[in-house]
Amino acid sequence: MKGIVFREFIDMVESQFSVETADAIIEASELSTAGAYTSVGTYPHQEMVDLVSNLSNKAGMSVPDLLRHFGRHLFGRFVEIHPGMTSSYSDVFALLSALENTIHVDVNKLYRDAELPLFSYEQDNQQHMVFIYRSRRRMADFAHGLIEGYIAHFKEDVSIERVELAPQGDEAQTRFTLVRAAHGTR
Amino acid sequence: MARAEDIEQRRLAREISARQQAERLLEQKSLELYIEAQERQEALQRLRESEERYRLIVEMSPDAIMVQLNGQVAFANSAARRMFAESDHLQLTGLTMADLGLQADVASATEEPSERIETIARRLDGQPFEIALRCMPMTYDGKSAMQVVARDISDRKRLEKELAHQAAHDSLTGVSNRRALISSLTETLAFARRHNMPFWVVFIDLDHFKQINDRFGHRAGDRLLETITARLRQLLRQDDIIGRYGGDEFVLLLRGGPEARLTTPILERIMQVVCEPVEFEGHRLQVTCSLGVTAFPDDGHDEDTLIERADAAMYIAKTAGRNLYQL
Repeated sequence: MKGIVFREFIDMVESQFSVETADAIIEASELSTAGAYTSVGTYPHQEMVDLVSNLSNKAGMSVPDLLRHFGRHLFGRFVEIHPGMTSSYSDVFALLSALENTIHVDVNKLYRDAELPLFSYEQDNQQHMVFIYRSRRRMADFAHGLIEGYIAHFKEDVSIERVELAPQGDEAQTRFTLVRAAHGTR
Repeated sequence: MARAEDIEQRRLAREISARQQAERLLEQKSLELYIEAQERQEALQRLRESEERYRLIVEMSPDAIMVQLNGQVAFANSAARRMFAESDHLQLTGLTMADLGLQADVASATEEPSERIETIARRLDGQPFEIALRCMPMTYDGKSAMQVVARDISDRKRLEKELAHQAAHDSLTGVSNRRALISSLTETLAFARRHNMPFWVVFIDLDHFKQINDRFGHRAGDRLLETITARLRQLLRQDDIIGRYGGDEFVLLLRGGPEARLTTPILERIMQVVCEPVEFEGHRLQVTCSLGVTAFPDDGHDEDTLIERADAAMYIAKTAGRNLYQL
């Protein structure tokens, strides 16, 4: 997992929980670099699992809730760090449909060793979109949070229905069905 | 509960460590970029070398290679520039196939590589010449184009004509040789049968020709044969044919219209031009001849009969005292 995600996570914990909490969960986790992350580095995914699970214990929040929360937070940060990433998309559906073939392609150019989840989508009409998340990382909650982040960013009235599907091999599969409210957008 | 200073200490340590990691990553990345750039440079160099090799192969090809794009010559190799006599003030590129006299041939080439076409092209100085060409549709600069591969075959064609001439003519006198004569006889027979027209076979044998060779040498004999042949050719009409049948034997095929008749004056004129003297290195060479004549269809209906009977008639003339004709 890219260092930028770890840094953003620790920054979030420091600012939204406390510096002490961040220090405590770092100390409690087994981390390859003792919690020193640089944005462009790549670190074991397990370290994020450890950090989140220790935060869960410490803050009394469930891991899925924490991951969703972090997903929402991280998207907001992405918009701040890479404003160009979202500016060319007019709404949530446009952004989601560009994710696999445009945005992840760019991410891969920037971070050649990034291991990105696979997304596939079907869009029947302007009101309805089905989005499948597939990854060995089993971070559907995190993806859920990110999607909520998109919706918040575009200020759209879109509901998310989430169904866990049978895993494919060692990959978890989650189906997100996004429905735009009948009264339209914005 | 950790002390605030300890926590701050650890945060600082993490930041320093992160920075060191970042520096290492930066150095590593710089090195990767440097190696990548070098590899790109080498790949580019290899590509250039490979392009140069292909360019040389095309440029040094003995065949002319041209590419027609949007109706104009977009590329021509050095063989093409030479072949079409490109000059400083007149370049091949930019011209059309019509300028080279090849419009119809190149336009007729379709999807597949064309058959080999032999045709007449025009040099940039207007001179026509014979070429063999093949057209092949191709993609050039991303557009559909036509590759034209051509070879100058003027020399070969000239040689073929020379060989064909040599194969059909007597080298000394330049008239038809025996084989070509028989073939002309076959054609004459077919034509005469179809159009119901008569013609005559005149078998000429020079009298005592051997004595000329013996007394004055073979060069004298050759001169006599050349001169007599030239005179006979002048005597004959365009439709008539003369051939050297053997050493001092000639055969004439006298052709005429449906109402034509063989008159004795023509035979007498033949004998007359044969026996006119020939000057050779201060000597006066002179021979007479014996003629045997057969007529189609009266004396025979095929080549062999007509020739054999003319030959036999000539022998009768010989035995009757020479310098005679026998019908």
